[in-house]
Amino acid sequence: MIEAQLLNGVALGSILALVALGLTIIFGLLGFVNFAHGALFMIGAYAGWVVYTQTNSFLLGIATAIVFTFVVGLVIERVLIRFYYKRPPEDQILVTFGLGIVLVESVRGIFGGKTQLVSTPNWGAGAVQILDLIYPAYRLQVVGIVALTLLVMWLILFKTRIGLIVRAGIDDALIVNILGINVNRTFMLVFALGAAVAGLSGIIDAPILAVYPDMGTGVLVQSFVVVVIGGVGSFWGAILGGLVAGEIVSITTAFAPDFGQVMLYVAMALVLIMRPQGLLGVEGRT
Amino acid sequence: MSAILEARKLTKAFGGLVAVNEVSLEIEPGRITAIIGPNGAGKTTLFKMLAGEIPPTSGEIYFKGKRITGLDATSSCQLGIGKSHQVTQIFPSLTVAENVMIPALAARRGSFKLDIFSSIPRVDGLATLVERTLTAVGLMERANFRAEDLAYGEKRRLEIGIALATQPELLLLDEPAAGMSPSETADLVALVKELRNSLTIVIVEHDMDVVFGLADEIMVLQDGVTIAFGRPEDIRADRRVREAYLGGLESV
Amino acid sequence: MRLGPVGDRSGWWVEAAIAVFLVVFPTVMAALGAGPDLATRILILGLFGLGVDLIFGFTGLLSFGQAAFFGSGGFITGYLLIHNIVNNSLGALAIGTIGAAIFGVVIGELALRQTGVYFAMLTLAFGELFYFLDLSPLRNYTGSENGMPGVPKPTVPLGFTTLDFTSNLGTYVFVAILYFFGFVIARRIVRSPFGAVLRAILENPERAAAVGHDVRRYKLVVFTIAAAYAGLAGGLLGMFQGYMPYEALSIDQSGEIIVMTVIGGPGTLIGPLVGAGIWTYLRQELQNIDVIASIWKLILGLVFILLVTGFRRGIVGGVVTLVERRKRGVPR
Repeated sequence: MIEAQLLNGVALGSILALVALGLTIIFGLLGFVNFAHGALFMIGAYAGWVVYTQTNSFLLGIATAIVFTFVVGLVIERVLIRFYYKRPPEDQILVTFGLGIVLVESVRGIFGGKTQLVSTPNWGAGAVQILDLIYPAYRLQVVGIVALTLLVMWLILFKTRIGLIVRAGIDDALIVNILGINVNRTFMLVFALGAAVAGLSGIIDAPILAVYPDMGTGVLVQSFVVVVIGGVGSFWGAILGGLVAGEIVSITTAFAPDFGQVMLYVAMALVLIMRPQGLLGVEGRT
Repeated sequence: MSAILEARKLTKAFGGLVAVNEVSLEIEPGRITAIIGPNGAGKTTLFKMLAGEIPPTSGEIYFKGKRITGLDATSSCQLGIGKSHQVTQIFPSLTVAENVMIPALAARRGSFKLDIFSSIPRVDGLATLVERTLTAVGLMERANFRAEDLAYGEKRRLEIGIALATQPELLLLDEPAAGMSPSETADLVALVKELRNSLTIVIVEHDMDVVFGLADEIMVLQDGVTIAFGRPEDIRADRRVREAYLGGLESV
Repeated sequence: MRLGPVGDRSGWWVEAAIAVFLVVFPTVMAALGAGPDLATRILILGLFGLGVDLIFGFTGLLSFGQAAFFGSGGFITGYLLIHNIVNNSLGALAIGTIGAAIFGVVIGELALRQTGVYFAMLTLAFGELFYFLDLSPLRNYTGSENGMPGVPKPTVPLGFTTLDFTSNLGTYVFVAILYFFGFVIARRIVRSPFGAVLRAILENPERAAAVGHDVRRYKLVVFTIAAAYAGLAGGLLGMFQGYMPYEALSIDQSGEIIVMTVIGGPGTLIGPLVGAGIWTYLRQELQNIDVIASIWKLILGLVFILLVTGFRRGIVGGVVTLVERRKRGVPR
């Protein structure tokens, strides 16, 4: 039976890893704390759901979620976020928290507060048998989708010129600027990228979570947990953190169901107290 | 006379970079000691270790005979080591008087006091200390101005005032004359000369007029190592010192 | 030289003004078409906000987990009263407040090992920890999503008689008295030498430490005090509603009190009260108007963003600045 829990942990963890990846991209690369992350997750879910119900194509829904949230990220960055890079972290937290409220309430105003169930796409229906386990097919596919996304992200960040600029721009924006590269535009793209990943995880999660305006709140905190455990600013940290978090919840739920969620926050607190840079984070990047 | 401050083989390494390499020094009470050296010599890092802002990688520090190695800045300050910073570190929205009152509160009340129902006028000796400090640094007329509204030179004086209000026995001044005009620098020199009657002073400076005008003894650092230590006349004549300062130009 | 409280030139008239305000508040609310109930709710949030202002407005600690103390105090107090463990409302409140304060010390000790973003995230995590503890493991005590019904209205048995605050107006009076004491205490703290150090920590924590203050300890104490305020307010909430909701422990609750404090004006003590007033009144009143019903929160969110971006002093802070500018000759 332990295999079931471990597998469940991987499935859960991969979703968490994807959600956290968007946050850690922005937090780690821009040094910017985005408390609107959950709201962007929610926006992706809604955007994808709308298209999905209209066209019956989940893939189109996914594509819409990515593009729409990317654009929203661009707009937010240009209109608000870019004035905050130099401001103290408390201000960044406050303004993105307020932004989150605005986004959530806007969606609530347009769609109402009703929970919308999102049916699993056709290709994800049914269950799959692994060893002696029956497991929902979609959840396994999510693991695959997440893995694919992580691969794409990794390629972008580590194998392209843009990625190099992004990583260099974080280290020393002044030099990059002097070299004639537009750092502002890089920051904007990074933020939009982080938002897009959040939006993607939103639509991916929609069949599992259902869609409602406040769906992002819990996700926001969970993302922080993952980022903290895995390490801020670490790409692999988000993945490792996600998997660790997923396993913690899954295994705890198996033995002491009441404490499943609680353990997650205990783990986060422990990490923050004993090893604040997380499992794979770089020390001093606080 | 035993030394008020003694450092033995102080070393600070940041990963592979050794900023301060086994520097030792002994400061006699009542003296003015200057630490000079080219940029990157490790002067500020040394100062930070002495004030408890960063812990040494190795080595020991003794203050009035007591081992204080690794003690944090708060404790160092309570023991009697005060420091003014190279980059001005004031309390911007508070008035000048309040800026000086904050360290005075620590000097008169210790590192912590749960006096949540008490009132400020009731703190013993606070007003006197604040007045004396403001007078000493010449900021009495600006007492009710917001600190962030002061002119640069005034802010530097406030910076020193904040350090003074902690009632130190040993005062570390990190480039106090930075950015000051000649007349402001002259005022600074006069201030330090007055202070020496009641405290021991160690000063890091680039301005050689200030250094040679004030110092009883001078320590020269280069690349984290002491290359010379002695009276001003001797330092002026020292060949290694001249090379340290001029060598860079010639080799370019 | 005469030294006074840091950043504060006001005198006893502030406490007097608050007392007068508390007396006329229900009448004002009635004139606006609302009963004393709305006034009571605003005061409870204002009391909660006093603590938040102490840690955020005066010390610069942004905690997203204050609901943990608000809810804990509420559930402890409510539980004691419902199960007749304590008959005296004040006694139950005291225990609930102390319980919240103890949690404050524990969480503060852990969370304050970090600063800035990590501190905020830690408080968020602890807040959620309490939230989920309430929902699952402790559900037999607290009712989980159903909350805890049956919290009695305030009564204070004095032996020879019992003070009865069970009517709507009575409850208001009970809450108002406690708010007044809370306010006076907060004012004393802020104007004390301790309070001066808090403001120094807000301005420049490194320098405050460098000049000899044990910054960690000051932060821990004020954090505990804020937890106590939150716990007291939570206890009053249960009594006021006759029911203790699980939402009192949620992130939303933690976030709301921050928004109220920022809109009202951090560092003013009455800021949170003003913010709570605006938030609560708008929520109650605008829900009746069809079109605006769902967007009152949206509008407040936008106002919040504007204030954070350009005007950090909030409404009360803005008023204070205007008044001070009128006084010529004094540079401050």
